[in-house]
Amino acid sequence: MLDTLIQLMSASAVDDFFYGVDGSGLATYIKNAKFIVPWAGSFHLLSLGLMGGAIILADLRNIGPGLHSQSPASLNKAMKPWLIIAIIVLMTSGSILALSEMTRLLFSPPYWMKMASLASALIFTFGVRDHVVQNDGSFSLLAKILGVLAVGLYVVVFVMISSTLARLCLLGLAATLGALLWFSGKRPEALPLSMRAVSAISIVLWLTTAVAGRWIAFW
Amino acid sequence: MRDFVAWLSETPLSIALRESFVLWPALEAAHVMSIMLFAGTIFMVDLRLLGIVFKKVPFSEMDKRILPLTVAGFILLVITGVILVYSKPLVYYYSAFFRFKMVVIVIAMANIGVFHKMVQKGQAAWDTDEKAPRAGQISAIISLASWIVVIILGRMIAYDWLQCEKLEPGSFMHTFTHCKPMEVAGLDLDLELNLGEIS
Repeated sequence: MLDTLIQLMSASAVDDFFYGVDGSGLATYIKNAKFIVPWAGSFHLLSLGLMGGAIILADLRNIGPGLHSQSPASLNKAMKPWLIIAIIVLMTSGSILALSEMTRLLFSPPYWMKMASLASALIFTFGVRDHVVQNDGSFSLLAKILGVLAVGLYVVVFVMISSTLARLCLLGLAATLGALLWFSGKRPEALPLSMRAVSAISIVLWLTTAVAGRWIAFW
Repeated sequence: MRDFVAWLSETPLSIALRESFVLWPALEAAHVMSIMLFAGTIFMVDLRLLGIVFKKVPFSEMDKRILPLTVAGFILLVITGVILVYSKPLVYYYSAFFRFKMVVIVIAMANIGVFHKMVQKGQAAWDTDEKAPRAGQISAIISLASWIVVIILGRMIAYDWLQCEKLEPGSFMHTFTHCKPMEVAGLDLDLELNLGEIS
């Protein structure tokens, strides 16, 4: 299904855009430079590590191990600048990596899976998770709408991927986080379900984006 | 050592692993997620020692609550890393980047050892301070620097800058990587058969 969508898109303006960018001076410069891509890849990985820290410290605490002496809201606030720095470096280095192989990306299922889950993760983290955690678990109307949008987008990705391996990995990830969500609800000092759920979803979305990104190299 | 690595690469499981279409990407996915867990948590512990984040969190709480996650991440990294190396042993044996990575990991582990055995001994006295004493901060800087270098070297393994055929025979890098003269000419059939690519 995803393959069909890619074929449809490749016959449209997306196709022209990708080939146009691929022929640009900047893309050519990056492709010809020996050291730019490896360094961009290194910074991509380093900022991914930083993002891991920011997400784990802020979100894993709500459903499992973490700094329980600190409130979820204060951890969320403390980790936000680091998450934003990580995302900026990831997007900058990611754009450089993309410029080096635009025409290949156009036909790469993991690339489109990553872009969709990235959009989903960004909408969910900043539009839903931050709001819910900062408001002790209550949703505003906007947060509800954005939540449905982000999770819906993720479900579309899951339905459309053609790889069984990818499906199994995503299911495994969701099952692990689901189990943590379940067990964290049994503790006497458990946080509201909404707060735990947004943290679990945030972790799933970012990990999916990271894994799909790594798979661009293989398909 | 080289003979052992060559033997390892011919074991049926190693061949099956490198010929598998799905295992390598699955292992790489697990390795990347483990990096997020390991590097992410150790970066935060180091930043705490430097007084940059969580200034009000006692160091003992970071030890008790965050370091177990770091250890779990490290165990996952070692397990997935060992399987990745086992699936293409000769590629890693002849990779200068991989050798450097192992050296820096040893340095980082030694730093952790020194930190736990010496620096942390008096932790009760500075447990709630905004930042660790000088020795703790130095340890944090060494830790941050070495793990950053490890991640960069790990990524560089995929690139061929320092492959044997590109190195000057007799140079430090050539000797360090144990390149054989035959391989400089690119005639080692045994090696060619087992190399494959890393991306």
